Amino acid sequence: MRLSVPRWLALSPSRAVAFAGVFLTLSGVLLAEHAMVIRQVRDDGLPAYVTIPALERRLAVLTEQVEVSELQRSLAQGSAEEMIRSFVLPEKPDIDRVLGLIELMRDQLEEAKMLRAMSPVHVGGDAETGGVSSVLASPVSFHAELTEEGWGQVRLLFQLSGLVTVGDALRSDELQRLLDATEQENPAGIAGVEHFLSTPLLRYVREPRSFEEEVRRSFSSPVFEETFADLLQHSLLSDARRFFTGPLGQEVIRRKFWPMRFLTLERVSIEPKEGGWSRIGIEMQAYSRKEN
Amino acid sequence: MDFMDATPVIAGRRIVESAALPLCVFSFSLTVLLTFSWAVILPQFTQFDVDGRSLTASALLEHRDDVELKIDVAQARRDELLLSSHDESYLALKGKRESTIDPDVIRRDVAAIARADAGPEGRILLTEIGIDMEQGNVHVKGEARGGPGSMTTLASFVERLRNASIVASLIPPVFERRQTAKGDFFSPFSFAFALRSSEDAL
Repeated sequence: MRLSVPRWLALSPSRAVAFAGVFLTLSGVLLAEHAMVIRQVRDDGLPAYVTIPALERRLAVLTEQVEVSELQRSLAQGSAEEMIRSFVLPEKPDIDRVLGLIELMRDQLEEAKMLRAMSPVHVGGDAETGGVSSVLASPVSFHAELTEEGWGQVRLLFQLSGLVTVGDALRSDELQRLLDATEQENPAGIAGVEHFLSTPLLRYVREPRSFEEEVRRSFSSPVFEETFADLLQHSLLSDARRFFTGPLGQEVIRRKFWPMRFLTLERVSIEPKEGGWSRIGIEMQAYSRKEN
Repeated sequence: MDFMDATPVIAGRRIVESAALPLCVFSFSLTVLLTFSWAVILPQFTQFDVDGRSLTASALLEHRDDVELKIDVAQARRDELLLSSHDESYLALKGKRESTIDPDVIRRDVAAIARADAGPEGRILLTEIGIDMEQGNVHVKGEARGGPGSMTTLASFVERLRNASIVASLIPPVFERRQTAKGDFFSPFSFAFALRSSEDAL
């Protein structure tokens, strides 16, 4: 008996070769797909897989911090915002307050023998400033003969002008360092850090230790302590503590010039004189908000 | 006809005819096996388990990008909550102040370079340093003293200043040598240089 092969299976050799060609091509494509998938896993998948747990932990920490900060913010009052609107960037140019501050600075530095002469103060009209479109800037200029220490006090006065809270006194990189340390040590400690940063600068300089201790209580590692101590020592906070415990700072508080108007030094000329004195030319700008 | 007696063309055709079906069966089997591997086996070894989900490498990359985006959003929100004010004018002015270099840093740097050029005879006497923080320009005036070599002292000072990290570009002064009534030589100078911005320094 002879086995009959079904008609559709009865391949002619040429058809069989053609099918073999098609199957081999398909096999080649599938092999290439295997290689591509394995390469993708090696080059992209594994490195990403290794980083994802750390990223997810960071996201969880940040989400927790945002929740805590939002809760804290809802309880806090907008006093800093108010101070900025009323004193730092008022809607009226209010140049008499700026002149009052310069006069006070002159009297105090003269009394401390850090200033021996000062020119009349020139005040220009309000003008739009190149950098920030929503404010007006009043140019103010004068010359003063100052000692090194006196010039330091004048510079500090400008640096502290316009600041309201502890957070305002920190540069963005300093703030970032503090937040990074918080994330690493105790994410929930953001509440303490946030309270510290939103403390009015004047309250902080009056009793720095209590506010600093409040932050320290949330963290225990020496790494955080080191970062925090470095920040307190080398940021403007340290200068602010020094300034407000000195006679000029005390007088600024007593005469209610705090919070100060936002002032920036635009141009400075320094002519060294005999005996450690310098004739300093100052061109500054006092800012106010454009009226709506 | 014996196989060995056939001509090479006929022998080749016979080889193909006899190998065609096995080749077809082999390639078909290979394709089936590879398809099975691609569809069933490969995913078992090349997918990643994340939060109870199996993700391919490309899906994993998308997931990582998504987490990174969420981190950026959460970080921006947290930083925003830490600011004392959301007043745009105030924040812009604070940014402007932060990007401005301290005039005393410039004065100290220029004075230190001037002191470094003080040789046994020569010295640089700075009579005025003008700093325009807005434009980022500094104007320096003074005198180089150093006997007959005062111009060399001045050139050395200018060169050191040009190479200083705070200087982006410098317009050199006019070099001239003058003599006082007493016969001392000096070279007055007045020149300007542009400050390197913090972005340039990076």
